Amino acid sequence: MNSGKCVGCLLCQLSCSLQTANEFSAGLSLIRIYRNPVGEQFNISFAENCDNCFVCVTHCTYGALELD
Amino acid sequence: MAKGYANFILHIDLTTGEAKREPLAEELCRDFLGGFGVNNRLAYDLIPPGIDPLSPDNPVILGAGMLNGTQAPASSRFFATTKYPTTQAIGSASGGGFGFMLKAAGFDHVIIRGQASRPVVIKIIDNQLELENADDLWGKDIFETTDELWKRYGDESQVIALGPAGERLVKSSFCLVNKISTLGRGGLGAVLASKRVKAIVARGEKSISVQAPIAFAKKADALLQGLAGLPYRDSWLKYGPAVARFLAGRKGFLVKGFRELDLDEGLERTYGPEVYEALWQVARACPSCPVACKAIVKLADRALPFSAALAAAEIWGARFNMTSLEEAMACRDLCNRNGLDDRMASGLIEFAVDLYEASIIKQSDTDGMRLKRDPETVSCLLKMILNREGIGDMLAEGFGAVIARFGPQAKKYAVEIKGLDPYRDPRELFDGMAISQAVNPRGSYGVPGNSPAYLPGRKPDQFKRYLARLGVEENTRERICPEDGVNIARLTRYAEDWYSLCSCLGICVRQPVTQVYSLDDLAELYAAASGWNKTGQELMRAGERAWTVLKAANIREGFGRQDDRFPDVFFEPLIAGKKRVALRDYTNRVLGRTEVERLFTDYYQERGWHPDTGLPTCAGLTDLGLGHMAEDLRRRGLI
Repeated sequence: MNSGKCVGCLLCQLSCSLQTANEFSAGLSLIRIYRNPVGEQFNISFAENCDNCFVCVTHCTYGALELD
Repeated sequence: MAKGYANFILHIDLTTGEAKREPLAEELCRDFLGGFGVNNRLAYDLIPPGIDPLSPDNPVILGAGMLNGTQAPASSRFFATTKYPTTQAIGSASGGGFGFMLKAAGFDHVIIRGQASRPVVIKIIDNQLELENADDLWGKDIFETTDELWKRYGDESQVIALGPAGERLVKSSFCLVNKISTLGRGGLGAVLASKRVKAIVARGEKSISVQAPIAFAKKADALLQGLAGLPYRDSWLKYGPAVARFLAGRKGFLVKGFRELDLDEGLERTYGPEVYEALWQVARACPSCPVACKAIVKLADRALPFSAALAAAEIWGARFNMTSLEEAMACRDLCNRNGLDDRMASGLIEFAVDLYEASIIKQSDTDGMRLKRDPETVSCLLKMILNREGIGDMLAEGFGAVIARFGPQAKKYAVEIKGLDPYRDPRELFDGMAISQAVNPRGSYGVPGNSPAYLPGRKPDQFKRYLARLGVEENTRERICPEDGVNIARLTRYAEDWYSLCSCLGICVRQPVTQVYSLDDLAELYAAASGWNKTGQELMRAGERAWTVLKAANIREGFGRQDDRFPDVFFEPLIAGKKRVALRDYTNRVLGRTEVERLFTDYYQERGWHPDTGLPTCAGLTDLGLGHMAEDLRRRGLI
């Protein structure tokens, strides 16, 4: 996870909520993107019940989420 | 309840403080899809013809694109429709973000009318409207306001804010969404400020459900792969729309004030990509976008958000002989913070300098200041516009006010279309944007005419393939793109219909997106989201309908063919060293006024509009299901 590369596209949240809840909703997503006002950056966090399906990783095209 | 929508319109009366939730009519969704289309349709009924844009009775209509809030790539455009003070035209301006959160808050559209007694923040959170006192925010710039609202309402909130330029009713004021996406060229800042609205905040947890999630995700994923795999994507992420110049190998891309074309590459050394790379930090995207066009840029040790940051080079740098890109970007930053449309401000300042050089504006008009094409003049006049001081007060009113003050002799120096600084110098590149900026009912905005012509040197076959992706029939493609070239004016009609359709759905129309999405893709996404099957042709027809409604609304405002025009200076050659660059069409034929008028006629004919008046016909409007508008316009003696 490299939050410095996050551009705020939220495709991780959108794909996660569709995968987990069959709907588009930030509230139902197990990954959340928060704005860090310092330096205009974003923070990334995962819910405890995230089951590591990696759908968020496959939808991140900016290199903020990558598998080793 | 229609799938893909939040299914409600929020009505806000600022005068009474009352709000009403109205179910979004299914017929409106089916005919106008959403966003741009539904906004335009609502505007036709809600904006009283001839209204003063700064009157409480001029509504502001916000509208989310139908696919906002979904995983469809680059599906974040939403619209602000009102009568704009700079143009006196009804326009639908687009911004990125906000729409998805408006839907999550429970609404597809918001209609704001009236005038609050004190400054307010319109807060739409989880289906509830609150008008919060904004006395403490009035006077703050857009960045300060947005940061404060994120602190109060959470950083996932989407914020539309206006700055001091809007508060002082500067006609060319705009808003920013989340400090980065411009919204409302033509004066949205002033319109909202006249209602005493400082900002609009949306946040919510409502889900957007689609009819066929698996099919939707499959199509969205394929489009994501296409966009992420574009060969020039890395360059695009860094340079944004300016990358087209570098891709096309166009040296000497900068036009200095609609007068001079830089050929010695000196300006590229000052403002070019290598210089910019040292400032660029990271891309910034609208929600769902894999081809970000915005960026965080380091300027004087501060990280600053910009949309299409390199545009500063042509807007300020080349126009006013600035010695560095940083100096040009600092002008953009000042405009952004204050909510002033920098393109328009630079045009007005140059207009003032031109009039000063022609001795039409004299030192007695400028409190003794000498107006020059230099950074010092820019700095002084920007402050005077923002504070409405001296000559700045007149410039804050726009081109028309300057012409009214200095008379017809000033008019020939005004480089404007429907009151707005032009988007494109067609002598540099005669593409669809050059045509669209003249015929757009909203005023000088060229993006709807975006097509492969944006990259010079494209061959007729490439245009045919582009039109095929838009679902244009073969005989039409052959007619528009014969062996010896392409009729950009006729092609622009289809580019605009595509723009309109994408705008109803909320899909972006930046070059990479238009290059990857096809009409079939939109039809598949629309069907999977809504459950309503429409053919591609039916969707393009909806796009045409939405565009035509905007045209009809502006016919009622008194606009006609005489307003679709190029400024006089476009018919004079650009100076390019020892060379002179005349106005030429895409196939390099020299154009005079007669030929340009013929091209406009071609455009109207391709639309099925009357070739002499440039207006839709009663039969054409009726065919589009707009019979009641035909009757309204006929009754008023306008068509």
